[in-house]
Amino acid sequence: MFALRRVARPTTVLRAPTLRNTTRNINQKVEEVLKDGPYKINKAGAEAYEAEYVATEKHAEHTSKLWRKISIYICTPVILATCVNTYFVEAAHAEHREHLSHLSEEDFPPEYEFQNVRTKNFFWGDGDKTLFWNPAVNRHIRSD
Amino acid sequence: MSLKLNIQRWLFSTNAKDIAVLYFIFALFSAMIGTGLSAIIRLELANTGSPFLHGNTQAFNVVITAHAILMIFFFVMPALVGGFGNYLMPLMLGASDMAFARLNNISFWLLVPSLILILTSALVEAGAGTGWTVYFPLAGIQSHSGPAVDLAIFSLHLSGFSSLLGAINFITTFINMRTIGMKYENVPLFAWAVLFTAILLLLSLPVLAAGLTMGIFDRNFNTSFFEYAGGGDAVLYQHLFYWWNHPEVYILIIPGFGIISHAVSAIASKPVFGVQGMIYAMWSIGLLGFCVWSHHMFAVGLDSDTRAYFTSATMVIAVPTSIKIFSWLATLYGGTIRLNVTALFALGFIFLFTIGGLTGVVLANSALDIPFHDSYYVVAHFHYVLSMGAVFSIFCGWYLWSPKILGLHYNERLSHIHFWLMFIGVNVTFFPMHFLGLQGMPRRINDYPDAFIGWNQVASLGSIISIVASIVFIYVVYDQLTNGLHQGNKALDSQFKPSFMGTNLNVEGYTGPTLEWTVSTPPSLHAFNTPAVLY
Amino acid sequence: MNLTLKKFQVHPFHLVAPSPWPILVSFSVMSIMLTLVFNMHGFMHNNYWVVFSAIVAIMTMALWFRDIISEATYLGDHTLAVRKGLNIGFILFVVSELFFFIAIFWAFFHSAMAPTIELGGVWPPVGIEAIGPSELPLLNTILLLCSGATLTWSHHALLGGNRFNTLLGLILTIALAVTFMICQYMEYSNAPFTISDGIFGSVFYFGTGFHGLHIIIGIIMLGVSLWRIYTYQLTNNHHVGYETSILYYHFVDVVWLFLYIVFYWWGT
Repeated sequence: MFALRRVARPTTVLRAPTLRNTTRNINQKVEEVLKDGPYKINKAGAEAYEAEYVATEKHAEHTSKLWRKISIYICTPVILATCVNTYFVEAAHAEHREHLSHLSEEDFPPEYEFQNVRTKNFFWGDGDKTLFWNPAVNRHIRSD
Repeated sequence: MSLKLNIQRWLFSTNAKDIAVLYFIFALFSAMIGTGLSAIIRLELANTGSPFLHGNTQAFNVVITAHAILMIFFFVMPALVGGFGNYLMPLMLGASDMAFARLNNISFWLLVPSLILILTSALVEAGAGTGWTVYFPLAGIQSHSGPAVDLAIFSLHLSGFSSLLGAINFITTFINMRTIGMKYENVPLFAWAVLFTAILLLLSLPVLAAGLTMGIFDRNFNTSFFEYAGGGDAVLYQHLFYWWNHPEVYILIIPGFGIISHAVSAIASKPVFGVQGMIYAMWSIGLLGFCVWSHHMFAVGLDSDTRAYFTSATMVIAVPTSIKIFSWLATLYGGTIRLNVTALFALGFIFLFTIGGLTGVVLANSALDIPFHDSYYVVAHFHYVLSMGAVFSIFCGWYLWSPKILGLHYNERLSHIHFWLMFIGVNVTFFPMHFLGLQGMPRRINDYPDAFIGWNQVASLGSIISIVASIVFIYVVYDQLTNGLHQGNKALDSQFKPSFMGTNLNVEGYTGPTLEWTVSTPPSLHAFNTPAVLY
Repeated sequence: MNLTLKKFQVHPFHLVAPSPWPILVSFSVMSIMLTLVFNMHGFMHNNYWVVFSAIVAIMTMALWFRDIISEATYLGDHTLAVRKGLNIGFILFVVSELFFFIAIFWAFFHSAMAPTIELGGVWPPVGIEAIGPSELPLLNTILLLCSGATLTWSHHALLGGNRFNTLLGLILTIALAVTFMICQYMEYSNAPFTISDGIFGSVFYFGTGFHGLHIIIGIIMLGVSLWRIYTYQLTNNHHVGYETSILYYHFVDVVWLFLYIVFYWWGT
C-alpha cells in the first residue's frame, strides 16, 4: 500500500536487478532518516516551543486581567440583580405552595390520566413517592 | 511463570497484544455459546409443531435474543475490533502500544461482566424474549415484568461502554501514535477500517445508551418515554435505537473490509487496487450510515416522503460498497493467485457478501420492504452479510495473521476442510431462507404452516453442517496451538513466498506489504520500542 | 521500573505498568448493576449492596486516577506526545457525551413537537404547571455563565503564572457551580410535577437530571484540579488535568444553555 509495496509491483523485464536497486534505495533512505531523524535533538523545535510558551504567558497576563474585570464588574452585579428577581418570583411560588398545602383532596387541581403513572412501585420508600416528592404540591390522588 | 506473574500479565494487562489475545479467547467462547443457541433455533424450526421447545414460544424468543446479542456484541465485535484491531492496528502504525493502555484493559474486562449479565438475563425468570432490538412496548414492564430485560439492557450498556472506550482509544492511537514518516496516506487499509469503525462507535453508541437508559427508567421509575398512556411514543425508541444500529452494521463489517483488503493483496501478490478509493469508500459508507437509519422502520407508518428519502439514501450506499467490491476484483485481476485458505475465505467473502448486499438493495426499497419486513428474507439478508461477511472475514484474518501472532502454523489441509464445510453449511442454511421469506414466513415465530417444511428442513440440515464446520475450526485452532511448531514456521511463507506455479517476484527483501510483517514471529510484547522509520 | 524502561525507550509514548484497577472497576460496576436490578425487582430487600458496590467502584476509580496523577506529576511519564494524546482522547469523550445529550433533545422534540392526544395535544401538557424561563432557571443560567467567566479568569491566570488569581477564580467557579446545584435541588423539590407525570415530567427530569449529574462530575474534576494547583502539582505549561476539566465544564455549561432555551423557554 505504501513504499514497501513498490517492490512488489509487477515488472515484466529484469526483475532481480530492479528489485536489488530498490532495496538499496530503501536502505539509503532509511540511513539518511536515521542520521538526522529521530535521535537528533531538534533545537529549532525546542526554541519554537519556548517562544510559544513565553508568548502564551505574556498574552495570558493580559487576558486574565480582562476576565477578572468581567467576573467582578459584570458577573457580580448581574448575579445580584437576578437574585432579586428570583427572590420575588420564588416568594410568590412559596405563597402558592402554602396555599396548595392547605387544600383538601377535592379542591386540589384534578389529575389527568397521563399524570402519576405507576406501572410499577418505586423500589424505595413506600413505593409511591418519587425522589423529590413535595407533599405540598405533589399529590397522588387515587380515584378508585 | 508464577501465578503472580500470570495474573499480572493477563488480568492486569496493559499490553495491546495480550489484551487482543484475551479478546480472541473471549470471542471464541461466546461464539460457541451463540452457535449452540443457533442450533436450538434450527432444531426448533426443523419441523412444524415446535419439536424441540414443545411450544414454549417465550423460550424460543429468549434463545433468538441471546443468539443475536452474543454473536454481535460478544463474538464479531470483540474478534474484529478488539482482537484484530488491538493486535494489528498499533503494529501497522508502528506504534509502541495503544494510546491508553489501562483503558484498553477495561474495554476488555467490561465485556466479561456484560456477558455474565446477558447470560443471567437469559436464565432468570422467563428470560428476555424481546428480540435483540429490545423494542418497546414488548420490553416494557407490563410485557416483561421480571428482571431479565433490565439485565439485558444493562449488559448492552456495559458492552456499549466498553466499545466506546475502545473507540476513543483507537482514534487517539491513530491520530497521535503513527510512527516517524507514517503519513495518513501511508496508513494501511485495516488501520483505516478500524479508525472508521471507531468513529462510528463514538458517534452512535451514546444515543443507544440514552435510549436504553430511557427504557430502564420506563420500566422502573414510572417515566413515559415509550408509554402511550403518558404521552410517550414507542417509535422514539426505534429512532434512537436505529440511529445507533445502522452505523452498527457497518461497525460489524468495516473491519472485515480491512482484513479482506489485506488478504486479497497477499493472495494476489499485488498491492490493493485504488487504495485512496478504498479509504474514501469506507469513509462515505460510514458517513452515509448515519443518514439512513429509518429504513429499518418502514413499517412503523412513516410518511411516504420520509420513506422516499430513506429509500434513496440507502441505495446510495451501494455505490461505495461497489467501489470496494470492484477494487478487490481489480486487485485479483492479473495477480498470481495462491489458492490457500486465506484466499478461499476472501473469495468466499466477496461472493457471499455481494449476494447479501444485493438483497440489501432489494430491502432498501420501502415498497418492497413493507411486504418483506420481519420475514425470513430479512434474516437471510443479514446472515449473508454477517455470518458469511463478517464471520468469513474473521476466519480469513485468523488464517492470514494467526501464524504471525502465535508463531504457530495451522494444518492447511484441515483448514481447507473447514472452509468447504463452512461454505456449504452456511449457504445451505441461509439460501433457502430467501424462498421462505418471499413466501411470507415471518421471523421470530417458532412454528410455521406445513407448506414451509421443505426449505426449513434444508436450512436445519445446513445449520448442522456449519456446526460441524465450527467444530473443525476449533480443532484447527487446538491443533495449531498444540502441534503448531511441527507444521513449520510459515507465517510469511504461506502468504508471501511464491507458490510452485507463482512468479518469483516477491523474493529478496520483500517482507510483505505492511509493517506487522517486518517484526519477529511472534512479535515481541512491545515490538516498536525502537520506532520503525518509513521513508 | 519506569525509570529503567526509559533507558531503552526512544519513543515519547507512555508504556503503562500492569494495573489492577481496570478489572476491579469493571467487576464492581457489574456488581452495581446486578444488585440494582435485583433490588428494583424486589429480590433483595435493602439498598446496602448497591451502595456498597458503588463505593467500591468509586474508590477503585479514585485509586486509578491517583496512579495517573503520580505518573504525570512525579514520574514524568506525560511527555508532550502523551499530553496531546490525552487531550485528543478527552475531546473524543466529550463528543460522545454530546451525542448522549443530542439523544435527550431528540426525545424532547419527538414528544414536544407533536404532543399526543393523551396530553391534550398541547405542550406543556394540560394540567402541568411548567417552570418558566424567568423563574429560578434564569438565575441558574446566569450562575453557570458567570462560572464560565471566572473559570476562564482562573485558567488564564494559571497560564500567566499568577497563583493567587488562579486559586481565587477556581474557588469562585466551584462556589457558583455548587450554588447552581443547590438551586436545582430547590427547583426539583418544589416543582409541581414529578418524573412520573407523563412524558413532560419524564423528559424534563431525565434531561436536567443528567445535566446535573454532569455538573457534579465537573465539580469533582475542578475540585481535584484545585487541590492539585494548591499543592503545586500543576504548572503553567503542564496542566492537562485542569485543561480537560475546563473543557468538560464549558461543555456542560453549553448543554445547559440549550436545555434552558429548549426545555424552559421554547418548551413552555
